[in-house]
Amino acid sequence: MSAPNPILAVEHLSIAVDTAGGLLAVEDVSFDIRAGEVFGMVGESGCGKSLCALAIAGLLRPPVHVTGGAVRFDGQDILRMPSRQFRHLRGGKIAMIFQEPMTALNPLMTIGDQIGEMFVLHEGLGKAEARRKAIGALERVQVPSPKRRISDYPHQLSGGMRQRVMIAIALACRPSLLIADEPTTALDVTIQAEITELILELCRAQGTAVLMISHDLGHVAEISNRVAVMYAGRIAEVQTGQAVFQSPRHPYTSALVASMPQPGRRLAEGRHSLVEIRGVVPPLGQRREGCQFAPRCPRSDAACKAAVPPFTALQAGGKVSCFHHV
Amino acid sequence: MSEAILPALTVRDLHVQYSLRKGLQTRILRAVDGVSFTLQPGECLGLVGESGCGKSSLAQAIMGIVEPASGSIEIAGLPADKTAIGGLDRARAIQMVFQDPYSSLNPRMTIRKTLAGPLHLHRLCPPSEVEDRIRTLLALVGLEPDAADRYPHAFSGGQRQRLCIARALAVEPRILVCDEPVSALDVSIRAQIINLLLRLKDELGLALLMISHDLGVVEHMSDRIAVMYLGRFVEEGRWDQVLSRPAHPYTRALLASVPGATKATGPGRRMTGEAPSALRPPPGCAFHPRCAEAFEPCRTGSGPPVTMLEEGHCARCHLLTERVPA
Repeated sequence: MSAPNPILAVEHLSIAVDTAGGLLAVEDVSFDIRAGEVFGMVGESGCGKSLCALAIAGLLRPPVHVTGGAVRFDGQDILRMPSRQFRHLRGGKIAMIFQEPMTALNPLMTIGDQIGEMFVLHEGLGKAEARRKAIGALERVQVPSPKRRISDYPHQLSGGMRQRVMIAIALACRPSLLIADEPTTALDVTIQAEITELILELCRAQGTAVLMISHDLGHVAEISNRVAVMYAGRIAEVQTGQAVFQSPRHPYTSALVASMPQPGRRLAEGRHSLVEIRGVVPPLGQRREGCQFAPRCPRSDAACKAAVPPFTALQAGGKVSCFHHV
Repeated sequence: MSEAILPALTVRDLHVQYSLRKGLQTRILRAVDGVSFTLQPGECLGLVGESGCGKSSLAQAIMGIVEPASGSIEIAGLPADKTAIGGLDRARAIQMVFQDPYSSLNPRMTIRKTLAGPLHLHRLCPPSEVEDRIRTLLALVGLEPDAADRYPHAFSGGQRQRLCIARALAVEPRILVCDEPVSALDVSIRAQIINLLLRLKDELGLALLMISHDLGVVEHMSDRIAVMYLGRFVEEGRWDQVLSRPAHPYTRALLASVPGATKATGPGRRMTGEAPSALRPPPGCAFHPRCAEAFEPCRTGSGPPVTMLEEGHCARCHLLTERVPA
């Protein structure tokens, strides 16, 4: 395969939380994102997906830190980059949208100043020019009457509008990579589709790659080129968006799909009983040797409990970490 | 005529209002604005709508947590007020399961004490039998008897939600109001709670009022579905009627906003904009500013009347009255 050079390559990334013993929250995570690609990352709370995002954005703070691996952005290892240099990259070429727009925006600054700041910091524009470009940025995210809205404070906007402002800030300097960490989870169902579409449309138009992080497998599978499914700090499988939902290869993913009440399914097939996944996700302090899903897995045997399964490359592309994959 | 079973719950023309004082002005917020429905024993009514549409206010009025401004609530044919079913009687008839099982259990009480509380309060069994009853309740929700000695912190989210359900069932209610019972839980354990609620509904003949924004969950669980918009039911019917032949443009837009749902329900138009505030509802049909199909009559008056479409399926929309000759 002659794929174009990835814009982002994560190689054997491990992240630990410093406690008495030192707990590994993310272990040996590798994936890459090609220019302009939408890459989904799904998993339940505590699986490490957000930590991966923060590591890529260089936002991990003690007691959490990277213990191994590399993150290459456009060929440069950003984990070992001087922080002054990284600060220039972050916000400019690597942008981020968080789940809760209210806490991510500064309540004491008008939204115009917050968007304009991007142009001042990253493009060295003057105030008046930055303001003019901020109005344009607001227009692109479809905020009605941007000229008037520019002097509003975040509290004057609805949740959906705030998230649009966040998108305007993130995409202001035409980044090559946008990290979107559950960008629609805090919003109403009806707004969610609109905001997701807006993010994807703008990114497509300017060739920005997206790392879309979510707990909603169905949603991410629909919009992503490829999806990584994470479980308890490791990648379980990577497949194309369509395949991960329709023919999941890791027992965890296939159990997850079978356990979800999917819209339209009862209408089409009648009520089926949902498959329950026994047990719970192991808490960080109680992870064990071998495959973390083994205690809950119908296919597990002694081998699963002894060693972490290596990745098997799938014929149709992608990889799965399971001795007994589907 | 077929023999009528007494409905578990009858709500007639219910209004819930909050008065908000701002300076010298007092404004009325109509959270629930004339809602009527019945709920049969063993039936699950799924209630969907965006945040702020009045779902939770309706649930609170039914529970007796807020006093309705007007309208009536009957439980098994008896008015839910001081003359017939008030105070403790009402609490015996209706119980509630909340969204967040972490904040709805007292962290300083053992499970035994939590479950014994309602048994003592309602004098449901002699002290010598309390222990047996607790064991039965725990078994009913799939927990081991030794759970009684532990505190809430020792349980996972799914187990805590089971405990909340056990506590609600301690008084043998006829009606269980569930406000987003699975949305705070990890995806891999939601199926357990959904299956449990459905089993209890069938085994105990419980009437379920199920509030959820997750249309997959609502489709899977509901016998009937009500769609709420700004304080009113805009559509109500059997689950398959509402999902396969949605009559109200809002219902169609809601279904279209769910990833994957369009395959089953056909193309629907997504809506634009956000729900208006219940403090300043638009004149006419409250949905008209967001409705792609709105025409003249939608913009004035007090909103469209209820149109009966089929047995048990009705909606409030001018488009429907136009088609049906008076």
